[in-house]
Amino acid sequence: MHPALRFVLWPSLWASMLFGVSAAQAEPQRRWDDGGDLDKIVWNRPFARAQELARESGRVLLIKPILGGGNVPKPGGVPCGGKNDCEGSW
Amino acid sequence: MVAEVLRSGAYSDEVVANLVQRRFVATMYDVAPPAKNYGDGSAYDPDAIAAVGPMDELRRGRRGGGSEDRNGRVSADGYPTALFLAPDGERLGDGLWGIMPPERLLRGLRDVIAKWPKYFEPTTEERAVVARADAQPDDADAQLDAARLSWELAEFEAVVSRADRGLGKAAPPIRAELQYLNARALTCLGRDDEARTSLLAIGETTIGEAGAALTLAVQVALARLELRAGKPEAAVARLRPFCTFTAPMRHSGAVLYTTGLALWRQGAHDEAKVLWRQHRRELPFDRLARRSAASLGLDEAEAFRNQELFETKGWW
Repeated sequence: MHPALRFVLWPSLWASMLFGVSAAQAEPQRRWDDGGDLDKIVWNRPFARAQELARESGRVLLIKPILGGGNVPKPGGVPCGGKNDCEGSW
Repeated sequence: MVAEVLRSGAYSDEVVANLVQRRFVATMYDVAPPAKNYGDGSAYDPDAIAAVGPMDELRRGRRGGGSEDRNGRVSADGYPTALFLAPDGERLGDGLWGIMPPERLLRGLRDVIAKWPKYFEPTTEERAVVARADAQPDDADAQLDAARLSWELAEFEAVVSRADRGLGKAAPPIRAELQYLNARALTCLGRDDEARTSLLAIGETTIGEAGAALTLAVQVALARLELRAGKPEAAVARLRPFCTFTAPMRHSGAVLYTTGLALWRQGAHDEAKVLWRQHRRELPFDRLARRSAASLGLDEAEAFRNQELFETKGWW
């Protein structure tokens, strides 16, 4: 993690990174610092938690299935799936 | 793979990200179970599969596989871009499929919003912002708040309208941001000449950290207009001085990515890669860092290239 992020991440983003949830789905907050623009889509996980957020907020779930994890990586390549797709950079 | 193309492409677009954050609850899952997963399989989620259904059934009738032509363009009609479920679990439509630029993804999201409006009502806070702006048409601050909200909802005509109202009596910092939002919205509407005029009118009227960030944002917006006009050399000349910094700002990542893109379009591929690597190294969590990675061809991962390198239509 970029060292500067420790001091400026909003609580909701910390919650998202630590627990895979979004604490402030309804009202997005602006996030940026000397690590650049951190305003990205929050991909809520696990699915059950995302469903809960959708029910609470009355919003529609936008679901992105990832198919890459099942693909055989090229020699020396890093496979998709798991950590490579879920590191918070979505 | 294709997921990378989307993550670094349309889903990393500011307009798309804003609207998704405002109006949807986004979630992702890996369809491959750990035993058949070449990654660590940690995103495999049986709950998601139970709710969405088997991928083979969802893909039926769509051509599978992803392929890259000799020019780098990816076709992947059988890859799901977005599926939609109502809060009660009902499937809404067939979803969006294939690799698409931000403009097309935005169109797809708007279609869903228009078809099922009851799930996309404004929040109490949003209603208050709009009500204040409507009640106080001469209050530049109220118009700016409403313009920001409209921008985040990808309501481009509304942004232009709010800017028109607010600019009359706006103090310099408010005026500058209104002109900037106006220009971004005009760009998305395809009114590039008006957008450029609005950006050039901002000048050096802003001060402080927010002013410096806005100044950088204005330069990026102007450079993107130059790229759209087929003038990558102008974009490089504009942004190059900002590629060296001691303390990065909000738009420093956009500067590095966009300058790299402009160099790439000029044929200076090696120079472009230097900037994209710098972006990845210095600002790994930046919104566009993935796009720089995908532009490099990702030595470290399996991925198709950033489609913005090959396709100009639908990117703003």
